[in-house]
Amino acid sequence: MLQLESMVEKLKATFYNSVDFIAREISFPKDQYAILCYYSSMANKKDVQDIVNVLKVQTTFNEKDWDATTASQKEAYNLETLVEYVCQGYTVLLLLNSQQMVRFTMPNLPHRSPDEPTNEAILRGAHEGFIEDTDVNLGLIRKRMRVPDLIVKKVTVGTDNKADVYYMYLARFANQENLTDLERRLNNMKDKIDGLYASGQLNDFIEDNPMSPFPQIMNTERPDRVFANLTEGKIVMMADFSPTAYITPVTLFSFYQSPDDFNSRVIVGSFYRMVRVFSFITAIFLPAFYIAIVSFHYEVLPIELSKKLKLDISEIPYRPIFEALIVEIIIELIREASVRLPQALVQTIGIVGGLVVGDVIINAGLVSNMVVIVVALTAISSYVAPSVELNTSVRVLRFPFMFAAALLGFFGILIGALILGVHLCNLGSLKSPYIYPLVPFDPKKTKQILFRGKHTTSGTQPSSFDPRGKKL
Amino acid sequence: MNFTITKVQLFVMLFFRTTGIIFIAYSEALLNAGGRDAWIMFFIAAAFVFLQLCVYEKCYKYFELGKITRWIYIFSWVILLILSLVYIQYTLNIWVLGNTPNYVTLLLMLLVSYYISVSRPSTAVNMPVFIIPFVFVFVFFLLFAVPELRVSQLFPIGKSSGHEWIMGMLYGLASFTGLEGYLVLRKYVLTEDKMRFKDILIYQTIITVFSGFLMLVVKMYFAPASLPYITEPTLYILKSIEVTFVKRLDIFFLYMWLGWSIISLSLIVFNIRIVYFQKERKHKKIPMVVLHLLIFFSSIAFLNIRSVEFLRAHFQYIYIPFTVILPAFIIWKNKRRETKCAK
Repeated sequence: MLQLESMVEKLKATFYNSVDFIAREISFPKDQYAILCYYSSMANKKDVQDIVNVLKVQTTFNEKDWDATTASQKEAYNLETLVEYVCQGYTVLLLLNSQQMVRFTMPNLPHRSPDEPTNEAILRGAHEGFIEDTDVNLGLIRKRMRVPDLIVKKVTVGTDNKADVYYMYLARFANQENLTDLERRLNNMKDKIDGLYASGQLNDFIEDNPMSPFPQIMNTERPDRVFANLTEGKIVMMADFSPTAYITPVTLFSFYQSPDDFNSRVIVGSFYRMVRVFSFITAIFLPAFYIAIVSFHYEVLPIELSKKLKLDISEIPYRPIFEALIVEIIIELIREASVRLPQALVQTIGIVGGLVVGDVIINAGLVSNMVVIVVALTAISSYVAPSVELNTSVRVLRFPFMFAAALLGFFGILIGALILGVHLCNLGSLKSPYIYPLVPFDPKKTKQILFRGKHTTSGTQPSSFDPRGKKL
Repeated sequence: MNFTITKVQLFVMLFFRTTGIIFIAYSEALLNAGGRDAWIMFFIAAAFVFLQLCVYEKCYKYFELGKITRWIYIFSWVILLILSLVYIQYTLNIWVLGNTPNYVTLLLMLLVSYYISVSRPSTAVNMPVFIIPFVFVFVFFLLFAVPELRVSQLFPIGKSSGHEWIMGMLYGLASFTGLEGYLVLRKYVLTEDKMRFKDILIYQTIITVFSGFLMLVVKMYFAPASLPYITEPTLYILKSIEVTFVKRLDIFFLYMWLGWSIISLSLIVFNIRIVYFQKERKHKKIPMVVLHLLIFFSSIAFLNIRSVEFLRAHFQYIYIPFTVILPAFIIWKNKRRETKCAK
C-alpha cells in the first residue's frame, strides 16, 4: 500500500501538483494495485469509468486479451511515455505489479460544430468548415473522398511543447518529388521549434521564400477546397487543434479560384474568375496610376476630366501621394478595427469610418473626391480574392507602387511592375513554378486562368499545378 | 548553363528579341531608304529570313562558338546593348522624361536587366510572356487609324532605283536583327519537342504579319514626302488617334514599348550569359555586375545626338555580318571538322 501511495505522490509531483491532474488508486481484479491518471479538464469521466468497467469484467473472466477494447492499448510502463500520453489528453491506467500501463484513446477536448468559415463564405455548395479537432477535420475530408489511396501521415514537431502535423495526399496523383521535399522540410522543422504556436511557423519552414509578399501555401478552412486540391495532386497539411488546412504546392492563380466557380454556370463562373484576376491588377496599380497621372501625366486624360481634376486638386494642400496615403491609412485603420470589434459594432464602424470620416475629410479640404473614389475602388478590388492571405499581400504591395509613381510617374510603375514580374518568375511553391501556366509558358493551359471549362469535357478543368510536376 | 526550353519559348524569346527596341522606328528608316517599293522589299526580306531559319534549323548543331567567335559575339552584343540604351534614353527624353536625370532612368532600366540576369535562366526565358497581351493591345489601337489610311499610297510600284533596292533590303533584313539568337538557343530546346518547318513557318508568318502591319500602317498613313521628318511614326500615329477615354494614347504605348525594350535588352544579356558561361553549370554574379556597370558608364558616355544618328545611319549593316556571314563561317568550319555543339 505504501508503494501505491508513494507512486501516486510521485506522479502528482511529476505533474507539478496541478489541480486538474488526477492520479487515483483503484481496485483492479487482475492486479490489486492500479492507478488511474488523467487530466480532468481533458477527459470525459463517464467514458473513462465505462472503459475501466469493461476492462475489469474482461480481467475477471480471465480473457487472454483482457486489455483489448476499441479504445485501449496495453504497453510496458515508462514514466516519460505516460507523461506524454496524459499531456495529449489520454487516460492511463497504471498496473503496478505487472509494471504495465493501459492507455485509453478518448481525449474529450472541447470543440465547436463544423460551421462555415466566415472568411471563406460561398453562395452555393457545402457550408461546412474545419474546426479545432483533427479527427473531425479528417472525417470531413474522408466523407468526401471515399478512396483507399488518400494517405494521411503524421510528423511530431517541437522540442518542448510537442504538436502533431498531419499531411495527406492522394497516392495516385501526388508528385513523389514534392512529397519528399515536404517531408524533408517538416523533419527540418522538428527540432528547430519549441512548439507549434502559430500557423506562420509552418509557413516559414515550408515556403520556398518566406520573405516574399506572396503566400506560397494556401490556407483554407473549407473541406471542399481541400478535396479539390487533393485531386489536383497537391499535398495538404493540418496542424493539431487548428481549423486551417495548408495546401502546397500552389500557384498564384489558384488563390483566385473559388468553389463558386465550379458550382455556378460555365459562363458565370468564367466571368467572375475574370473579374477576380482583373481585381489583382486594379488592387495593386490603381492608386499608383492615379498618382502618376495627377503628378506627371495630366495630358493623357480627356480635357473635360483633366480640367475638373485640376480644379479639384488645386485646393488640396498636399501632394497626391500624401493625399492617397491619408485615405489608404484610414481604410486600413477601419479594416483593422472592424476585425477586432464585436460583430454588432462592425457595421457602425463601417458607416462612421466610410461615410462620416470620408465626407468630413473631403469637406475639410484634406483630400479630393477623386482620391476617395480611387482608394475605395482599390479597397474593394483587394477584397475580391477568395483568400485572406493574398488580400493582405496585395494591399501591402500597392504602397511601393504608389511611391514609385510619386517619384517617376509611369516610368516608376513600369520598373516596379517589371521587378514584380521577375520576382514572380523566380518564385516557387515547393520548387514548382508559382505562376504556371505563364511560367513555364503553356499556351494551351493559359486560358484556364480566366475560363472554367465544362464539367462534361474531360481535361478542361483548371488544374493550377501539373501533377507530373513542372519544376523550376 | 544547364536549362531546357520548349520550342514555343524559343519562338516567344526570338519574337521579342527581334521586335523589341526597333519596332517603333524601323518603318520610317525602311520606307525612307527603300523608296516606293520599300514595302515589297520588307516581304522579300521576310521570305529570305524564313529560308535562313530553315538553314539554321538544319545546321544549328554545328554552331559551336570558338574562343574568338565567342568574344566577337559578346563584343557585338555589348555594343548593341549600349547603342540600344542610348536610343531608348534619347527617345524617352524627347517624348516623356525630359526633366529626369539620365543616370536615374538608365540605372533603373539596368537594375531590372541585372535582376533578370542573376535570376535562374527560366526567368529570362519566360519574362517575354508578360508582354504578349500588349502585342494585341498595340495592334488593336493601331486599327483605330484604319479610316485615315490610304491604300493608294502603296502604289505605284517599280519606281525604286537599284541603290534604293540594296538599302531597302538591308533595312528590311535589319528589322529581323537578333536572329542569331535562334542558333544560340536552339540546342537548349527539349529533344522530345520536335521542331518542324511548319513551326518555323508559323513563327515567321506571325512576326512578318506584325512587323509588316506596323510598316504598312506607316506607309499608308503618311505622305512619302513627310516621312523623313518623323522619327517614331508609329508613336506619332497613336498620338493622333482620338479615343473618348484617353487623350494621349502615345504615352501609354511609349511605356509599353519601353517595357518591351527592357525585356529585349534582358534577352540580349541572356545571350551573353549563355555564351560567356556556356561551360559552367552555375554562373557567378560578379561578371554580370561588371557587364551592367560597363553598359551603364558607356551609355552615359555615348548619350548624345551623334550616337543616335550613328545608330540610325548604320544599324542596317549589323544583320549581314553577325546573322549571315559569321554563323555561316562557324557552321562551315565546324562541319568540316565535324564538331557538333555540346549542351
